[in-house]
Amino acid sequence: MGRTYPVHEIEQLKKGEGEVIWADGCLAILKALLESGVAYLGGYPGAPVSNLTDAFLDAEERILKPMGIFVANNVNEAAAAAMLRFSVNAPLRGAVAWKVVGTNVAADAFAHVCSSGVQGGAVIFVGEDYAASSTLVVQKTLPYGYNFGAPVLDPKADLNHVAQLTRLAFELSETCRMPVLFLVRTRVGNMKGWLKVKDNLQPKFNLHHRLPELQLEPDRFPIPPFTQKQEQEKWHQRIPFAKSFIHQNGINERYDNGGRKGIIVHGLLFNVALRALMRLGEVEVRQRDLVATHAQIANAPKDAISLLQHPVPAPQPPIRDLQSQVPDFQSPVPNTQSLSFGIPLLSLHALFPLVEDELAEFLEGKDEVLIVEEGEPALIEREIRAIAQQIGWNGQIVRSEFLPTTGELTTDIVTEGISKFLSNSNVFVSVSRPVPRVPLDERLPVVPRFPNFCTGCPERPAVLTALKIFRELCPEARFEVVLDIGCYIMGIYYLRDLVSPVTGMGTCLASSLASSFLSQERTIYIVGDGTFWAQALTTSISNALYHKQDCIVLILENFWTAMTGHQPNPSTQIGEHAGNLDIEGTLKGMGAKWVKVVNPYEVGEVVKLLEEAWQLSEIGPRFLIVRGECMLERSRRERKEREQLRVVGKRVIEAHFGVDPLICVGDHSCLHYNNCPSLSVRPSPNPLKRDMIVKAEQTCVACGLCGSVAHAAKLCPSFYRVEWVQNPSFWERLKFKLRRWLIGI
Amino acid sequence: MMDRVVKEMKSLTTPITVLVAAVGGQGGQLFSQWLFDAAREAGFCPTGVGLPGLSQREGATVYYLEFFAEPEATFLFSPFPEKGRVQILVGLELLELLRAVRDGYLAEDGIIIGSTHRVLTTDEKLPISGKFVTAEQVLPILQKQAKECIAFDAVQAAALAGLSERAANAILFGALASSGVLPFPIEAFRKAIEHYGVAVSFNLRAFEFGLRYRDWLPQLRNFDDFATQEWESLPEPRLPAQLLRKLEALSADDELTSILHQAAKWLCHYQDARYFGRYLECVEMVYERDEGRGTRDELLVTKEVARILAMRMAYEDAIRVAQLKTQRQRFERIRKEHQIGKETVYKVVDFFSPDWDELTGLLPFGRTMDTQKVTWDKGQGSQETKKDELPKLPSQSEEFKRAALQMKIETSSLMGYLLLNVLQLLKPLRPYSHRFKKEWAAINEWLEAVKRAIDKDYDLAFLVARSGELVRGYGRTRRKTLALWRTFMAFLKALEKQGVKVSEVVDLGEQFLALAMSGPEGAEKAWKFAKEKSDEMSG
Repeated sequence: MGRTYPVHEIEQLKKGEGEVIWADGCLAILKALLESGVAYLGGYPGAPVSNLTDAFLDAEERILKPMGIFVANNVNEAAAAAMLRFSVNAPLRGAVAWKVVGTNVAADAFAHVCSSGVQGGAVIFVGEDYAASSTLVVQKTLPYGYNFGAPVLDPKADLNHVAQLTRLAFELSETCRMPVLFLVRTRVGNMKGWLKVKDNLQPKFNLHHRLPELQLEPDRFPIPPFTQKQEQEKWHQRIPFAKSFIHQNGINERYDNGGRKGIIVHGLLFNVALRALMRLGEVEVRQRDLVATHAQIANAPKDAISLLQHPVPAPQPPIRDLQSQVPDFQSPVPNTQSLSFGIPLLSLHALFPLVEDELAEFLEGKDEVLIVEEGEPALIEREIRAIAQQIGWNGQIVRSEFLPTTGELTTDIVTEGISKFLSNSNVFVSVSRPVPRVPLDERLPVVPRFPNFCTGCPERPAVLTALKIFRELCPEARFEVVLDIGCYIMGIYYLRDLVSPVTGMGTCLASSLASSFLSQERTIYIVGDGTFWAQALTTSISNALYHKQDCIVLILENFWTAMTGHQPNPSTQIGEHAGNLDIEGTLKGMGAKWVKVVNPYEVGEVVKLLEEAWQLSEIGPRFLIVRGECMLERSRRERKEREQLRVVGKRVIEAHFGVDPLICVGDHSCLHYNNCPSLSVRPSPNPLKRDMIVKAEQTCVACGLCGSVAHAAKLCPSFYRVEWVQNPSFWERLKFKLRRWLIGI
Repeated sequence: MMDRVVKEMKSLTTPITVLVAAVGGQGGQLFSQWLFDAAREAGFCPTGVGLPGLSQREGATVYYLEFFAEPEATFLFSPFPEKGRVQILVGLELLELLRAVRDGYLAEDGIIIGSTHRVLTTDEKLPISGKFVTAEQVLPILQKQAKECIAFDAVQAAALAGLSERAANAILFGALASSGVLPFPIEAFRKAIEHYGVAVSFNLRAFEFGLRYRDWLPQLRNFDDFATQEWESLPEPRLPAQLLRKLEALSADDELTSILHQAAKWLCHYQDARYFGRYLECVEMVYERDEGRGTRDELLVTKEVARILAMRMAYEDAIRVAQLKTQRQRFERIRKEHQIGKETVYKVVDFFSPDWDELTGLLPFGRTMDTQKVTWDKGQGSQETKKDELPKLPSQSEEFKRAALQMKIETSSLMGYLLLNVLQLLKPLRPYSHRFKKEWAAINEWLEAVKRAIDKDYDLAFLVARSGELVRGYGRTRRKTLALWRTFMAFLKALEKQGVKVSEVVDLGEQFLALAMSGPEGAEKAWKFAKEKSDEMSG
């Protein structure tokens, strides 16, 4: 598989105490996991934590296996959540990762684990994507924390803080016996920077030295009468323990030099607010201190780190005798000591549970507090209002007055909001140039850029080309296209009026069951192999076979979980798990009557099979497995292989497609059927032709679709395939010379 | 430049801010990684965030970097770029560069360094008369926005360097290094490429080329594309004196002269000088009526007819395709375009799918048609239609079911080459073929219509002249576009019949043409438009 992390970045994970590494957010998390002595890792890939899954897999052979850490590539989030149950019965630490909507899939298993309570630390790294830059629905994780009683941590955009909070998360989890939800926002997971690291810690029990005995206790089983006991324990013991841990360790930071107005932020909004306050002149960075504190980083005493003025001692929660393999908690990089705030700031990094005392203290003596909270439901705001009411605070809490309550809070937006809050007016004193110096011509077509299927993608021929030709070939055939979640969902941009809305991972065929019986339109369902195994098999396919739903199912088997960056899935043909599962055999075993396999690049064949399947409406679901490896993955690998062969003098063929510029008439039909990124347009070299003709870019990977579309859709003869040979044989060279001499090629 | 940045850096808490905008797949991630590492090599402390988004799939991607002077200051990192505060804006693609500028990120004294290369969006590609954002359009704007703007087509630069398109980002990286915009020594940039270890020797070559960008930039402007070279290498026509005189007489202004010369080149290559003579006759007939008409004696109709007629007369048939596919210049162009070395063994395979019509069209059927005889009214509609009804477009599904010969021919092999060359032997027989008869019937319909319109209204004549360009393509596209043109004429006729004012007819006709040219599905849209409008008028 394609590596996300080069070897030299993975090698950094071996570094120890006091050394500095350069990493992105996800690699920093993995390093902190190793420092925390984690015994098992898992998850299901999805932006913005797909990098974390990549890091697990990329480090598996080099780092994790030698340390005895077990890495699972779980088939879905429910499997990953359920795996955490190990920490219920074993004093071993585990971590899994999934994206925010994955929590929906995991929720059932997760609820049970939360009820039982863990003894080994369990942390879930949740890809929080409120901006929905790579998520279909907008959703926050925090409500899940409330729902299950699981603490929610939210780091700054500062890798040192990310790593520190990761280490703390395990301690917190063990202190309160709850799994911890750790938010990894897009701009944290994808952030690059430096961090100071500690020594790795091998888990006491591991792959090489297995745990001799599980601690199986009936009272951990969520079933009456234990269920109610667990519920009581959760809210009356575990959560209070969590609060005191959060408080004692100064997870929430307070910067308060006194003042009548205050600001409360959370997570990376700390960085955002800091930049905003710097721009507004409300914070001073004492440069001398900044440098001076450098020396203190390594040896800061433990109690110096609490930024709260008067830490309230809390009772030590009784921890079951857990072998503490945790390294000493070390201070955060005390760079914040160099800050001098003109306005009090409370930066929350444990969003649930909130510590009432901390908030009460912050509110005290202030008239007005602005809560900079991202999105709805604004549970932090509500909670703080409740606390204010409880303590009989008379000040004002504001949020929606100055900041948008939905959408991403960028530095510019927060600067404007804070500025208005401080000046108590709706006038925003601009601190930077908000508009371009020269007004841009509004007619300038800064057109939106929709994503597309990659060059040579094996899914495009099925999703776009074959369906378009099929529709034109059989205009009487009426159908909806149901796209599941995967790269192929981009079909929405090209099949607009044919597509019904997506209902979540693997559920989409099930979403059209009623429609299949009540509407005249039939269903063509498109699903990839990763989604097939993750959820579609059980939720959609078995449901359809059971009800004999009249539908055609296109299974795009490209052997990789491509959309999230080429993680292996059960269909992957490379690696130790290759060949363990088989889609065709599975379907036949389930009783499917019509299962065919087709090469997507032979688009005429795909159309023919679609026509055949269309006729067989009485037999229930018809399955067409469109089998072709993800081209991105394949061409990366093959390019490398070709290069290796070329160097040692072996015969290597390279190929491209091209368009003859004087033959292309410019009707753009090929773009209509085959919207390949490597097909572009250019002015015709023939000055008599004013229109744009098609050209093939050098990015072409010669998948052959252009040729097969030209045949299947009867397009113009301007496409050609050119093939050249490195290190040709003697005869080949001779033949070529002869041709050159005779026909002048 | 460097001094300014360094001066600013004296303030430890103020980072250098860089925004990199790119299209997924262009290597924006790699570029920002290099930049990140170069900053480290230069003793700075970089932080950054990438929003790769749907980067593998041509989505817009953005990377934002802040370089601090001291590691202790990096906690001040802002994970969002701020409007008006980005000092250096790098764009690997023109539209994305423009988008970042439009969003107002660039600081007042900001610097732009970018590639003017375009990765077209789907919506830009589909319209037949594609109008998209170009460097000529955008560069003046960018130059006004930035204090300094270094922009060139990095993909073309890669071709100039004899490297593949993948070299573009390293070339731009080289240009950034040598521009002195960042206070990093060049060695830091070089080390960054070596450090990250992706295709190091290839990228270093591109980088070194990029370093010398000032030297080759003038060359880049004159860098011609190979397709244009192919057109230019077509043989110059040799015309008999009589035709030359006629051509001279018709050359009213530079534009028309140029069109006529290009038509001579195209048609003589297509058929022969006699065929071009026939072309001149047709142009002459329009010219006579056009002279003195129009507002400024611009001969607009004549020019449009002259341009379009040359293409209509050189309709694409199997003989033409065989001719263009076997030209020496074509092989040379392919070799250059795909950067195949002069001595490298290569082969070319072509894809043909002629249908029955196209094959039988080559057979002789009757004599060559006299230009004057076939008129619009006698035109053979593609399908029988009732009076007063718009001619229908051919059914797509029937078109798909039509028999066609699917062939892959290796044109670079002796057999393939011979096969195609034999087809060319039929060239002298072309004027006796069935297809020729049909094409000329359609051409005459069009010319007649232009002539009749010119007597009525000049704008209408210009519209009808332009409509001739609708007819294009091979096989099913040809049938569809011809039917569409007939729809267009029937539409105009129906409007006139309803007593619609001429100016309004022209207006509706313009809309029809715009729809028809709006993309591959334009024909259907235009047909629907005509149907709705004529129903509206009659109902």
